[in-house]
Amino acid sequence: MGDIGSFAVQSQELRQEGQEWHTRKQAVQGAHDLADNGVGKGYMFGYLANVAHLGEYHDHFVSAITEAFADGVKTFDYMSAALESAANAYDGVDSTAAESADHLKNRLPR
Amino acid sequence: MTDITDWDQFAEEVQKRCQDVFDKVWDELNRMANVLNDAASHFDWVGVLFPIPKLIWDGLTSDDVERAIDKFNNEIRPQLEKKAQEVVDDITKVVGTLAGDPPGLKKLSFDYASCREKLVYPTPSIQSEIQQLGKSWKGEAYAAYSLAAGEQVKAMSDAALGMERAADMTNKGAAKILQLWVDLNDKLIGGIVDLAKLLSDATTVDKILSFEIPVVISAIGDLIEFVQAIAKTLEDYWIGVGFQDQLDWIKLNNGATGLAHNTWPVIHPGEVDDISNPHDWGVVA
Repeated sequence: MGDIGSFAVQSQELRQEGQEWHTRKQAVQGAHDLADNGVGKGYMFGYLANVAHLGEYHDHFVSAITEAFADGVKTFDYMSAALESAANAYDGVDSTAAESADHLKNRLPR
Repeated sequence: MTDITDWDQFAEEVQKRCQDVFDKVWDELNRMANVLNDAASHFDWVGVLFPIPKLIWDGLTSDDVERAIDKFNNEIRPQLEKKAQEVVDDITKVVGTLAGDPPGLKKLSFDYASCREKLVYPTPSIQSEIQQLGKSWKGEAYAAYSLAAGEQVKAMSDAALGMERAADMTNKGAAKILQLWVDLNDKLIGGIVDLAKLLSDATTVDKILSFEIPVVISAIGDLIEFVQAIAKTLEDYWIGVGFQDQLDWIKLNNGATGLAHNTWPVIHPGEVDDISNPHDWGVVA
């Protein structure tokens, strides 16, 4: 993809912002891994798990939030790649530097 | 107050208490048997010297001792042995439903708290970043990006709030289980003391003779009451959990607390198009 012209842009800012999303992606990945430790562990509530369904609620919540974190990781990956791609497009560094829109969209959770 | 930290220790403590119940019952039964044996041997010895049908020793006839022995063999011992076994079975059954893993829950609560730390992002805030980027990037792509970025970062802080609640409630659950174990164990200790006191009253043949219905029934009643007290403790915990922790977990479970519906926000397809496709970006003068 070539240089797409005279946008009011400084690609360095875009790259830096893209890096921020990459860092956030790592944070959400870390959160995902920690939350994943609790998947299926509702039985640890023992008696409390049985009488008030706490184990069941815990397991449903942790499964859902772990899945949400996985989607967050993909979404942040997209944000990072989109900004990086935009920076490349503005710079017109070479014909392959900017990702295609379809390719970028494929990074998003389905 | 006992100090219990995990399930194995709790189970071991309860097993020890149950063994104490058996030991106390057996000790008292043996002591009663010895009282009766002593009385019977006295009559055997006196009977050799004075072979008359009815002897009186210490205000008792040999018939009294025989009746006491029959009562002991046919009523007191079988009933107490049976009841002790039943009570221990009941306790074992109740305790079997209490298996839990407070140390494991505590570890999980630390993991959930660490989740929150990871998600609470340090400065600069996303708002200042977006504003800063706005100086370098304008047009529809930037507008779409700034909107999506704000939503995405809000998801991080919402999820952090949910994980913080999960950490608190998991930790609270661990503490409640431990407290329940300690309370039950303390009840067991108290119940055994009461039982031992009751049984130790039967110190003479007279008392063993009168140990029949009222005292045995009373002993059984105390044991039943003792098991019921355990059930009451469980019920109190159920009420506490039912009205408090359960509601908190329901809110977290259905996404009313923390990340809405516990699903990560999707970027609107229109915004994705604007951000992804350079040909859609507008030129800013």
